Amino acid sequence: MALDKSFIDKTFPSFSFEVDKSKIRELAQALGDDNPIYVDDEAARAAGLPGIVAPPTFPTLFKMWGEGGNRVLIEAMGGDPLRMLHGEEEYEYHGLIRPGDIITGQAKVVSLAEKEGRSGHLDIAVLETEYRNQRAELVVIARSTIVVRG
Amino acid sequence: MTIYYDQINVGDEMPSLTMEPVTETQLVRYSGAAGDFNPIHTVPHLAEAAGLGGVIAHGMLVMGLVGRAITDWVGVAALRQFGVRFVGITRPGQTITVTGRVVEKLEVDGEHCEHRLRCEVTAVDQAGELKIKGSFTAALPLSK
Repeated sequence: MALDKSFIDKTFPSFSFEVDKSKIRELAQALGDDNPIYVDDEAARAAGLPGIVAPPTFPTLFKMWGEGGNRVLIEAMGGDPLRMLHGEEEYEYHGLIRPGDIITGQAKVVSLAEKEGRSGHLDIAVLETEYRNQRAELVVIARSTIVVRG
Repeated sequence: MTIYYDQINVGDEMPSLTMEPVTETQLVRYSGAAGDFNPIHTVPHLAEAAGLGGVIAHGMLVMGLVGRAITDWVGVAALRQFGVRFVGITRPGQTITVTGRVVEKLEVDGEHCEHRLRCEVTAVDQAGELKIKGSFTAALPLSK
């Protein structure tokens, strides 16, 4: 089933996520990353940072825990989440993400395309989410390319 | 160790990083950390039923491993852009190696001029099978 084209350029309801140290540590540990800048303020400052920061793929938590996941958006557009594949992910970084930050995400559909692949019909959605912190500063823009098999 | 824009050339390699083999426990741990509870990553019989022949790693976990190699080299604050295409499935037992190469040096005018590197990165398993193809841009200081 094709995704509903009327969603192009529409924004979805915003969602929020509060960043805490334990979530940063958990992600770093799950990645096997023992870089102390993710767990130790002193070490982070010694590395020229203001304190503990989040690793580069941390924004994936905003979506997954913040109810703004790709799955939710694809379902809203009439797609079957069980037929979803994550094709691409891109982050554009504008500021550091730190413990205590309250991040608000606002997602929109940038494009919806249809393609006949070798294995049949494909819908390709590009979703873009802007994340701002509690000071309204833009910290990261995430772009996800989601493929839904027909 | 700080790396400097003027000491890096197009064609230079990013230090490669080989991870510990991916484990089932790591997939459980990553699911909890990331909040991604799609059972294809953690529940063997559901992953089988989905036609995957067993649990598979989250694409974002492997992107995270690529991120680890990048931040080991340039740090977190330097990163301006990081994007990947998910090419192949990663399974428990596979060992991911991340490599990268500088493909462009650029000076960007903005509020203040920045010196940036653009690098291409890949993640492969121990058999050389491609998992991720991507690139990142990082702003680096000058040595003087």
